[in-house]
Amino acid sequence: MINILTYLFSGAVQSGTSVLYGVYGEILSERVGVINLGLEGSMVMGAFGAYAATAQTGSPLLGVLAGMLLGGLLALIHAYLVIARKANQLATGLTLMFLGLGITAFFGRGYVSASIGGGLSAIKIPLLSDIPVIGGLFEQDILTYLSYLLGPALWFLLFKTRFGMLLRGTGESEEVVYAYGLNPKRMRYIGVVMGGMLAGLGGAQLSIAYTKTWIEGMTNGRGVIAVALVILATWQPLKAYIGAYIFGGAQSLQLVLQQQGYDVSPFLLLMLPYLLTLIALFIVSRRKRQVMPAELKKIVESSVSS
Amino acid sequence: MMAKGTAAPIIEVRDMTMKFGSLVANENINLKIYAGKIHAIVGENGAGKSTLMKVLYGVNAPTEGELLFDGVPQKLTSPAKAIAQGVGMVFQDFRLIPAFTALENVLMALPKEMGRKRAEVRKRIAEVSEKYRIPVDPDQYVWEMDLGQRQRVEITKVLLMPGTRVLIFDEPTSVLTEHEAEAFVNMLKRLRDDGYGILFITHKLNEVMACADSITVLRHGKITQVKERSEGFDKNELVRSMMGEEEGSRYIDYKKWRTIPFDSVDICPTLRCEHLDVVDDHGRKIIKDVNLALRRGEIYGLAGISGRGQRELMETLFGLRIPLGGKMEISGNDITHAGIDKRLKLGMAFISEDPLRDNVVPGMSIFEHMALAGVPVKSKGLDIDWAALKDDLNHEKAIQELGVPEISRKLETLSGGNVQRTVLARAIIKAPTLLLASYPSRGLDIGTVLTVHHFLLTLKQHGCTILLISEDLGELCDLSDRIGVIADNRIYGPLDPEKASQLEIGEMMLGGNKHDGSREKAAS
Amino acid sequence: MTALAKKLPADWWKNALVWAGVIAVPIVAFGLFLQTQGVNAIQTYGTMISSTLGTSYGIGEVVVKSTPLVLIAVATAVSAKAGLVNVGGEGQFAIGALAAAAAGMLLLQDVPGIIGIPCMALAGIAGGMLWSGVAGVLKVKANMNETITTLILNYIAVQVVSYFVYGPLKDPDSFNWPQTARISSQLRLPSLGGGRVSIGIFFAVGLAVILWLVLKKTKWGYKLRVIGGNPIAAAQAGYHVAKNQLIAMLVSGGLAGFAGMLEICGVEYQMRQTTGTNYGYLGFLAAWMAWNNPLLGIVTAFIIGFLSVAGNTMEITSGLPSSSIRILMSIVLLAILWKGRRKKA
Repeated sequence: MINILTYLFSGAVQSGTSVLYGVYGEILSERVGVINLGLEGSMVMGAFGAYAATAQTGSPLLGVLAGMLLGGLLALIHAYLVIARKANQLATGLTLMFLGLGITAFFGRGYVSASIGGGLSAIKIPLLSDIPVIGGLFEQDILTYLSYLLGPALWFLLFKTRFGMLLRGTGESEEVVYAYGLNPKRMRYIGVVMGGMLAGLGGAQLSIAYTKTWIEGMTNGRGVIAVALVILATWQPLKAYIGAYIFGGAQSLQLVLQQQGYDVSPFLLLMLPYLLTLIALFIVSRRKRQVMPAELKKIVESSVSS
Repeated sequence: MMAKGTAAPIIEVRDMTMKFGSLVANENINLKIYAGKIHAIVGENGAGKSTLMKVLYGVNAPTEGELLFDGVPQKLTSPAKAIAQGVGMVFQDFRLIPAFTALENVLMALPKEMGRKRAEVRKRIAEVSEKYRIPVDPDQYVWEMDLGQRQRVEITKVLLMPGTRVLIFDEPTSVLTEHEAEAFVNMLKRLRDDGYGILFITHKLNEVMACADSITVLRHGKITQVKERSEGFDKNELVRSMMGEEEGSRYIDYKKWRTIPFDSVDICPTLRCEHLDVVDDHGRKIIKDVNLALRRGEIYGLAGISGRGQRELMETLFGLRIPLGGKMEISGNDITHAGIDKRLKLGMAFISEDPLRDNVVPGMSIFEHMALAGVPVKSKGLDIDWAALKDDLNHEKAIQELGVPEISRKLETLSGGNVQRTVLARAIIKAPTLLLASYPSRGLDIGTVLTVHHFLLTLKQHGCTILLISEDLGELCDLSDRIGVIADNRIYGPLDPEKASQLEIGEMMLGGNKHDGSREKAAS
Repeated sequence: MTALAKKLPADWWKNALVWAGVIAVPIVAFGLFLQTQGVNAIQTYGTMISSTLGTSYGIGEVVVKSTPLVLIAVATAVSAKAGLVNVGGEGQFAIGALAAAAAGMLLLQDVPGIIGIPCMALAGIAGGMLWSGVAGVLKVKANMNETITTLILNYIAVQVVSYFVYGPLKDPDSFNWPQTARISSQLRLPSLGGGRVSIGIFFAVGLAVILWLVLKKTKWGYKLRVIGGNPIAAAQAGYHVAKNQLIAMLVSGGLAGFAGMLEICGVEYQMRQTTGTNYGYLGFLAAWMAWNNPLLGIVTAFIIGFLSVAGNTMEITSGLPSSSIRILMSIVLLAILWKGRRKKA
C-alpha cells in the first residue's frame, strides 16, 4: 500500500510538472493582461525543441535551453500580434496552438525514433529521498526541483519587487501604468514571452525528463489545461501546485490502477484529469470575490467582437 | 517646503485656444497659477473646464497659444512631461488600481529609485497624512475604500511624487460628504500655506468662496470673469457670469407645471415600495426599509450625495438587482419577483446613470437601439419592420428637438452627450407610465437641458410618473413635486420643494437626521 | 450585387491589394520554406491545385471535407453572435457522430432510411447539444468561461469516443481496429453521381443560408446580436440573457452534432477513433476568418477544405507530411490576424 502511495505521489509530480510550468507561464501572461491559448503550442514546441536538441547534441541542458527558447519564440509571436497589432487574443492563441503542433509534427518526423540517451536523469537528494511515502518527490529530475522552487520565486517577483508590481499593474490598468510615464506594452511583452519560455520548460520536462520520448502532439491538451488551472490558482503562483498535481495525480492514478491489474477502461481513466480540472473550475466558480486581473477581464468579456 | 508667494507664476497659460475639429472647447484662455495661492475655476458642465485641465496635464496639446512654466515656454507632449514640471493632478475618477493597496498605488506612481523603498514610502505616507490631516491606511485595498478614502490616497500619491508644486483638483468635492468637503477645504488651505500652487476646478460656488484667492469663471469655453479675493466675491455676479444672461430668456416656469398638491393621496399609486431593502454589490444593505408611493403624474426627486445607493435603488426598482426584502408594485401589480420584460410591459422605462456602458451595443445603429425596450415596433414576417421604424422615428418630435444624430449612424461612434440624447429620446418616445431617470441632463449643454426638462414635464402632464435622480439640487427642486433625501442608508422626506430650501435639503443629505418621523408611510 | 457595389468605398482596390498581399505573403514564405526542405515549391503548389481542383475526384474530396467545416463554422457563428466563443466544435462533432453511429447500428439497422436517417440526425443533434449544453449550463449557471470549458470538453470527447470504439461499440469483425460496425446501407445518404460526395453538402449549405437569415433577418437574431454586443443593454431591454445564450449554445452544438451525423451517414458509414479529427478547430477558424458571417463561412470553409485535401495530396506526391499544410494554414491565419478586421469607422 505504501509502495502504491509512493508511486502515486511521485507519479503525480512527474506527470504534473509540465502542467505546473504551464500554469506558471500562463499566470505571468495573464497577470499582464494577456490570455495565451497558444500555450499548448509553446509547450509542444518546448517538448520537441528539447528532444531534438538533446538528440542532436547529446546534452540535455542544451535541450532544456532549446525548449525554453522555442516556447518563448512562439509566445513572442502571440505578444506581437495581440499587443502591437491588437489581434483577437483567443483566435491568435488558437492559431499558434495549431502552428506549434504543425511545426513540431513536421520537423518531429525524424526524431520519433531518435535516442536521447538517459535524457534528464533523476537526482536523488540524500535524506529527503529516504522519507517514506513522499521520498519519491526528492528523486526527480532537475526541472522538477526547479519547479518546486519557482512558485515562491515567482510569488516574490510578482508581489515583493517593483518590477512585479508593474507587471501586475499592467494587467490591472494599462491606463494607470501609462499615466505614470511607464511603458505597459513592454511589460506585456515581458510577461507573455517569459510565460511562453516557462511553458517551453514544461514541454522539455515532458519529453526529455518524464517520458523520454517524442510523439507528435504529445502535450495532448496540457497547455489548455494549464490555462484553465490558472483560474483554480486564482493567478497566484503559490497555488499553482494544486491544480497541476491534481492533474498529474489523475494521470498517475491511471497508471497505478493499470499496473495493479484493475479492470477499468484506460479511456475513462485518461478522461479523469480533464474531468477533474472541469470540476475544480466549477468549485472555484462558486466563490464570490473576483480576482481576475481587470485588463484580462475586459479581454475575456469582449473576446467575440474584436 | 517652498518659498511662499513667489512673484512669478509657476504656470502661465497664454492666449490658449483648444479646438477639436470644428468644436472650440477653449478660446483665448489666460491664466496664472502662483505658489501659495488657491486659484479656482468655476463653470457649468460643458464650460470647457476639463479641456483646460487636460491641456495643463499634457493630455492634449493646445491648438493655439502656449504654456509657460516659471516664465519659460514648454511643450507638454505627455502627462510625464507635466509631472516633470511639478504638476500633480487629482482626477475626478482617480487613477488608482482597485486590486492594489494604497501603498502599492503610491509606490507605482513614484520614480524607480524611490518606488523600491517600501518602508521609507510607508513612513512618508504617515508623515503626509499627519501633516495635512489626510488619513490613509497604506495596507488597505483600494477596492475596499469609499470615494473619500480613495481621494485621499490619490492626493497622498500626488504629494509624494517628487517635485510636485502645483496640485490640480478636478471637481474634488462631488464625491464627498459635506463634512468631508469641509475637511477638504481646510486641507487645501494647509497645502497653500505650505507653498503649493493650487488649481481647484468645481461648479460649487460655496466652497470656492470659502477658500479661493482668485476665481476664474468659464462659460462656453471662454473666460467671462476673473476676480481676486481682495476685490471681494459676489455670489450673484459669479452665478450670472457662469450661467450667462441670455439663458434667462429661455426660461421654464416650473411652478406652473406643479399641479399635484403636495399632500394629495393617490389610491392606486404608480409605484409603491414597502419595506424594500436595497443591497449593493457586496451584499450590504445600502438603503434600508424604502417606503415610497409615487402618485400618477408626479415627479419625485431623490437628493443625496453621490454613491449613497442611488444606482442600486434604481436597479432594484427596474429588476436588475434583487432586493433583500420588501415589496414593489406598479399600479397595483406586484412586481417584486417580476422580470424586466414584465416590468417593461407594465410601462416602466429606465435611463441608466451610465448609458455608454449600459446601453450601447457595438455595431448597431441608433434606430436599432430604439427597438430595445423603447419605441413600439411593428413586425414584418419574423423580423422587425425596420423600414417602418425608421420612418416613424424620422417624424418623432423628441428625436428632432433633442438633436439626436442621423438615426442610421452607429451609436458607438457618437459622443457621450449624443448617446444621452438617444437614450432620452427613446424613453420619451416610449411614453412610459413610470420613468426611472438617473441624471437625465448629465453631459448636455444648457439649451438641451431645458429641452429635456420640457419633455419630462410634458410626460408628467400626460400622466407619467417620474422618479428623478440628479446631482444638481437646483434641477431637483425645479422639476420635482416632492423630494426625498437619501442619507444614513435611508430615504427621508418627502419635502415640499416649494417650502424646503436647497440649504435645508443639503443639510439633510449629510445624515444624522431627526426627521425620522416624517419618513413617508405608504399611502393606503 | 449592385447593393454591394454601392457599399464599396472609393479606394476599395487599395484594400483589396492589401488583402491580396496578406494572403500572398504567407504562401510565398511557405514556398521558400518548402525550397529549403528540398521540395520544388512551384511544382508542389501546382500539384496541390491540379490534384484537387483539376479532377472531379479532387473536387469531390474538397466538398466532402468542406461539408462538416461549413456546418461547424455556422455553429461557431451562432454562438459568437450571442457573445460566446465556442471552440468545442471538435467535441460536439465527435459526440454527435458517435451518437448517430450508435443509434444507426444498435437501433435502426432494420428501419427504412426515410425514418432511420432522420432518427440518426436527431441522435447526432442531441449528442452535439449534450456536449455544448454542458458548457452552456456551466457558463450561465456558474459563469465559467466557455472558451476554456469547450476546449476541455474536446479532450474528454476524444476519450469518450475511444472508450466506445474500443469497447462497447467495437465491431467484432474489425480485426481490432478501433471502429464501430458499418451502418446498414439504407441508412446511408444518397451520393451525388456515385462518388464520395453525398447530398449532405446541400444540408450544410442550406443550413448556412437559413441561419444567416435567422441571424440577420429575424427578431431572435436581433436579440442574439444585442446579447452578444452588450449583455447589460440586453438585460435592460428585458431579454433573458442566460436563457438565450444557452439556446444559442445548444443550437451551435446541435449544428456540430448534425455535421457529425452527416459524416457517418454520408462519408464514413461507421465511427472510427479518428473520425472528424481537427474538423472542430478548422471550422472555428473558418468562422473566424468569415467574421462569423454564415454566408462568408461557406466560402472560408471551402478554402480550408481545399487546403486540407491539398495537404493530403502533398503527402502523396512530394513526400511532405500532411502536417505541413497545417503550417501553411496557420501562417495564412496569422497574416490575417496581423492585418486585423477593423474597418474605418
